Amino acid sequence: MIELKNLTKRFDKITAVDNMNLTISDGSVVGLVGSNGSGKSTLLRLLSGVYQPDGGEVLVGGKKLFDNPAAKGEFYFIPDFPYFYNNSTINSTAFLYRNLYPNWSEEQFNRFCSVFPIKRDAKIINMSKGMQRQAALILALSTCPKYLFLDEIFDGLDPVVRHLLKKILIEQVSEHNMTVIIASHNLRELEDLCDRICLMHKGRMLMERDLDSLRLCFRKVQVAFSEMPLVPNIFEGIDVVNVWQNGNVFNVTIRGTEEDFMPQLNALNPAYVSAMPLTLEEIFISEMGEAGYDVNSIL
Amino acid sequence: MTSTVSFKEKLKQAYSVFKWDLKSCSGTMAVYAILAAVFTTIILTLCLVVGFYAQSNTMYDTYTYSQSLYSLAETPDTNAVAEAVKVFQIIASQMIYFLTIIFAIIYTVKVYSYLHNKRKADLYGSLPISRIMLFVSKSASAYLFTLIPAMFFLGIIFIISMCFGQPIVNEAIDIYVKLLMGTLASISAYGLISVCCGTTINSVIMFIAVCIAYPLSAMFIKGVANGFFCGTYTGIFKDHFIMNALNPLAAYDGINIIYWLIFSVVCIVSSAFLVKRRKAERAQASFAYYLPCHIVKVLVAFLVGMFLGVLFGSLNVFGDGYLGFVFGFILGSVPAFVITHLIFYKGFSKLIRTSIPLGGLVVVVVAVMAVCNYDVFGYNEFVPNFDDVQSAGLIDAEHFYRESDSDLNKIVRNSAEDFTDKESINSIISSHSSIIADKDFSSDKKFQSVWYDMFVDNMNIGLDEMQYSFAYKMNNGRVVTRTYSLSVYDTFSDNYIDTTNIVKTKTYTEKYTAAINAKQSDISSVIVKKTSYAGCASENTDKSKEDFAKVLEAFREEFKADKNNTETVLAPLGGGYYYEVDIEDFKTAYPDAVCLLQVNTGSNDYYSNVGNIFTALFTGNYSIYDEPRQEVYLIPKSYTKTITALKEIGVLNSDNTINDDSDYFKALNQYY
Repeated sequence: MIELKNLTKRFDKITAVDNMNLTISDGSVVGLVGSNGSGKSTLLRLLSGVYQPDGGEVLVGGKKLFDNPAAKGEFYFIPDFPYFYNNSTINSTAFLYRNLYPNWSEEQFNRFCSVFPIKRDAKIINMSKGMQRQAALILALSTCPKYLFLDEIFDGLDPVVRHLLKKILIEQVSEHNMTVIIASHNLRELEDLCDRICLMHKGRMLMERDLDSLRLCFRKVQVAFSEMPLVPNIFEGIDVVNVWQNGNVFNVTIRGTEEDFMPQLNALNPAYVSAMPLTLEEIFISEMGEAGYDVNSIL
Repeated sequence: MTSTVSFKEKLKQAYSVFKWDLKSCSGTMAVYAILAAVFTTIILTLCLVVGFYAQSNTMYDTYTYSQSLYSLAETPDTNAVAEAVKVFQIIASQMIYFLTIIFAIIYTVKVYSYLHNKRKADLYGSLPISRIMLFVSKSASAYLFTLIPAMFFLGIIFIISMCFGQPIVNEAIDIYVKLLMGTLASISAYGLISVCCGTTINSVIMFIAVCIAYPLSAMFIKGVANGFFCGTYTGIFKDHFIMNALNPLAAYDGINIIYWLIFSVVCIVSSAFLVKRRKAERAQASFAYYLPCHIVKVLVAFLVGMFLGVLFGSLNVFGDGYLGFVFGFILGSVPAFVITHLIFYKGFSKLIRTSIPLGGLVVVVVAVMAVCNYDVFGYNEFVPNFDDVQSAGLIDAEHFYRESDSDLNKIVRNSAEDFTDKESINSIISSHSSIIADKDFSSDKKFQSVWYDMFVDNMNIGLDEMQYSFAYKMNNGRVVTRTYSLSVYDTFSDNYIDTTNIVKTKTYTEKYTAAINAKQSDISSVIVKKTSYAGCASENTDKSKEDFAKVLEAFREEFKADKNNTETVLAPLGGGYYYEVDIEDFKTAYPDAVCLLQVNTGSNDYYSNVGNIFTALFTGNYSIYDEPRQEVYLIPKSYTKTITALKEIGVLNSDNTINDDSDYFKALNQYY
């Protein structure tokens, strides 16, 4: 289990991670989403021990993580731009990791080298962005990490490899109880993979919830009236996140389930009403809009 | 989850990082190996061929080099091969030495670059190895990548030398020690700088700045001490660690080993302490720790300020050396400080806030130079009153022997107790006064003396570090010394003063002459003169050395016991070319004179040996102790043991005349 207690990280005058508290249980797949500069990558670097916290602490199994080689032996971090030396190959990099990572598995290494369509003796630096990420993934998965931190991992991967990666991650989580934390702007992919979502903005955690409950608690509702009801506020008493009106037609994002708002809407005798769950991207835009980070407030 | 990593595991991890670095540096190491192998082969070939030609006097014959090499293989000339291999060992070792220094810099910069790149910081920061262990294994990589190939090639050179002839063991050990110390100190220092800097370029600039600015600044400070306090002996700082304390490249000289060991340990411990706390996000920022940056900025500002200040001072700008200095110092130091700041910070940010040390520097330097310039303590004009002096001493470098590793400062201080009689003390004070009286203590002269001290005195080109020294033991027990060397101050007649009253005394001779004090190994020859151009001279054979050692031993014994004939014995001393004298010159004044005994130290032959030339060339050690010096003594009839010894070795006939038929009899050139 990873615990973040009042975790804070500052870069000169900027607070990248601001007093964050979070508990991540083993065997979960957590998606970190948020605006640009919200602190997702910084949080991953704090989790992987690259950065030292300015305040608070990261605890793994109750022990501090920073500069703790024993703990870090069960972690693996793939940053948004993984580094490879000019002459590095997958084989030569594996040469370094074999003695460093206690759980390194030669069997897994050979397996993933055959699963991902890249050559293990080719210079990684000459590969495409997507192939470099695959190389990083082969090495990462071969260390059999208990905790895997991935920063924008889907960036540059083709749909087949994305699908393959998701499949492998799910397999690792289910078979080895691996914990995966993925920071990404690709919400569609996260939606398929994550069981929990953390929404970050300006270094703070706006929301942290199971993806299923998140989906359940938001509804995208379209309601149309042949004649506008004569009430001062049509949606009074309903937890509306945002509303968009075009004549007598309303597109409303509502926090709650059909049971919460349908009786009230039906009482207004609408010509048409439909409700459906939001996609993660729609939830993200809604929540960010509420935090003052929406298109309308930018433009 | 395991909570700790065992020591064995830690070593395993460090070894993995080392092997990883080895792979990433393998290309560079291959280049080193190829260059070293090719250069060694070229040097060996050239030395053998050229050496054989030179020895066989066939340089102008029609032989080709290949024929020469063939002849060498067929009928080797032992001397030719030995000499050629000696030269090969010296040149090849020096080549490996310089090549290793260059590659040490390359490896070190490469190895520590993991601290200066954000992407590398991600990679290394997340590896399951502690920061200190990572740093230690990186440092070990830099040391070993530098030293192991160098040791390998030096070993091969030594083996080749051993196979062909006699290897120079001292040369080999010397190079090993130099490389070991230089590499250790340089890599440790660069490691510390790397930890403090955020970028590789800042680390390299800072390392170069420290290596250049510190020794030059120290030279300026020593120059000021010498130039502004006439009579100060700063020779104690020659080869002193303080002159290069922050310049780790000086450790490649192979001296001050204890200091460099301490320096390296301090750097390594500091690095380990800082690297554990270093913020990974400082990679690609200007600095992770700012203190070294402030030090370098001040050092560079001081150096440039002193350069312009002393230049303007010596040019007497504004008609006053001191005003010229202040103007030059501010004109140099402020822009240098700003430019250094711009380089390190990539802009003007924090310039004002970090300029306080510059203000402090300017105030301190201007104040200290005012004290020096106006001689607030009356140092320059000091000559003691006779009544205040308990005893005194004078040493004239023209009549002075000391062992090469002796401490001149100590000898000068000890000389304060040489003479207690009124006449000698008066003579010494009078000589001292005559030196002071003729000196020009104007401000511009002082500034000119700084240049002299920096660029002449600091070059080891055989200049005497002292011309005259005066030492006084005052009534209160305090010892005061003044040591004067030739410099821009010296406008007194012919740069010489008459010191014969002191030099031609038994006390002075017993303490400061080669004839009485020199080790046998320091004596190049002993001559018994008939005329200035003929006499019996010792030769470079064991028998000859033994023969003349007996003569010298007898002379020493008799001189020390002598109470009546000292004046006679010392009669030839003094004057310019007093060793070009003839026994007949003294017969009238000293009818008892039997012969002239000349004792020579140093040798002009030293640099005629090709091996010595290369050693001197590469080490820069043109030792003053190898310069020829002569002392001539008159042997009276009363020195019976000396005369008997001379007769026993066949130099004197039974009638005390020089034996023209002696094996040692020869014509004497000017150096005899």
